[in-house]
Amino acid sequence: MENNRGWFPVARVEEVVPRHVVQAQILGQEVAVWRDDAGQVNAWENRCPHRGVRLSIGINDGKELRCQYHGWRYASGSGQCTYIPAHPGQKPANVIKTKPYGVTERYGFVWVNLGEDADVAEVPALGLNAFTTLRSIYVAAPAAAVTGRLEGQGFAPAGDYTLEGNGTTLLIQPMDGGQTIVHGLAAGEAEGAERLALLRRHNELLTEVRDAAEREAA
Amino acid sequence: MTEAIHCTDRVALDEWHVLAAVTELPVGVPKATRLLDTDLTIERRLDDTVAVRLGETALPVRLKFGYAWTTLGSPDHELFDIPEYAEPDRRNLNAASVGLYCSAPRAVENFLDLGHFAFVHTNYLGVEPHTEIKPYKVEITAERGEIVATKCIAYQPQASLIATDGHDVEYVYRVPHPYCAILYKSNDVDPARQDVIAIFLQPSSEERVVAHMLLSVLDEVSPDAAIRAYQQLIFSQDKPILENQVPKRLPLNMRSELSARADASSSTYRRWLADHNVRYGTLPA
Repeated sequence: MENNRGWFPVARVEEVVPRHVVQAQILGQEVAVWRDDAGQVNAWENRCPHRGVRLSIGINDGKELRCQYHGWRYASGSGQCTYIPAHPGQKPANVIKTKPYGVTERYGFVWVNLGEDADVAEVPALGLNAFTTLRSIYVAAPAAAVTGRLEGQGFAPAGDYTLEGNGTTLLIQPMDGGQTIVHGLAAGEAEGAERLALLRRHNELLTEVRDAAEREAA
Repeated sequence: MTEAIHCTDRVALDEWHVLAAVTELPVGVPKATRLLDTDLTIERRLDDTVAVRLGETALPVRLKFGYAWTTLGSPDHELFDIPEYAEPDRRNLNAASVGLYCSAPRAVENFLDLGHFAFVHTNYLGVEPHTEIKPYKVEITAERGEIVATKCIAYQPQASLIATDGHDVEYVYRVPHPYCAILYKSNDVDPARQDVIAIFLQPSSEERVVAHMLLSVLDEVSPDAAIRAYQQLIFSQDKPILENQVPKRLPLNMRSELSARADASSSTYRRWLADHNVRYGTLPA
């Protein structure tokens, strides 16, 4: 129950493509997620430490993230500012850096932990050797309301923000007090018609849950 | 229609605020507008005078620079002046009145900023590798307590509609009001004189403004529409930046956002807002 506290899936691995920046959100906190050309994923507070512009509208050049406002550059990994174009001859002070969060990739998702010293070992062990990634569904309703609805559909809590049932593991991403994303993994590698049927079933079930939760929240 | 004043910031209340470019108001048709979270109506009469009302109560009005201004409080001062506006050969026009999802202080700070030219106004007001910002001078004047930044130099590929080549442009900036700023930039016709551009923010709320932009330029050839279009293009490049600043209110705590030497104007403006106790649109120091 305790071991997944703080780690949340925020995007599917294949969404975090090279030279792109993904805007994610957990518990009201916006996160800029980007992959460098060596494959390393970064998850940073979504604001430039200089003038607060969202880094998710910045430019991923493969090594550094460049802010759109003044072109300040931040290194993959450390988040250290490497270059201030207004003062090209000066090395930026060490204190000028983005705020990196814990980040890792597992089960086909990018996971983020807002804690400062996040331990990757605490990413929930789902006991899935083979899995099929299901459609992630956005719901304009609080996580508790969504979870409540899912429990009425044959899912049972299997840890904080995790549910199991119907041969499926659901991972809840609470964006903020009124928005939730439900990620899903089915055990086993389904193929062909079986896979299509699985995806369709999940989609129908989650659409029903979403519509009900959004009607209630509206 | 609510008649209550929904703002408790004494400094913002006791200040003059812009509401509209007079010639853009319909004649004889009251129009709803909003200032400091307070619903008002504004009406241009046949004789070009302007009435501003809070419910049934008439508010004080000033007509200046082609705009109507009002106050919800009791200012102990008149509106600042822009002497150049009265020069007979100037083209004075409202470039645009644009709604923005940002605070007024964030918009003022963007207006004062030199460092974004190469990145936000690429190929117009700046271009890489001409990104260096040389030291400039920022002071607070003794007479009116305005912020004045001088000797601000920027290399500009297309400094104005009529500029024909890239060159260094010298700017002077004034901040005479918490939500208004004026810039003077070297003119491409007469090297002895300067074009004047001002931004007057109408804070509808702490995080929503209408930006009114005054142009007072020396240009005898370009049609009004072309002069406006150029300025609107420049402004349309700033809008997505301003609407993606987090938090929307300007943090006056100098440790909340890190500054470089090029940010001298911005840092002075933040301290000036804190010294004047401007709370509306800011986060406390």
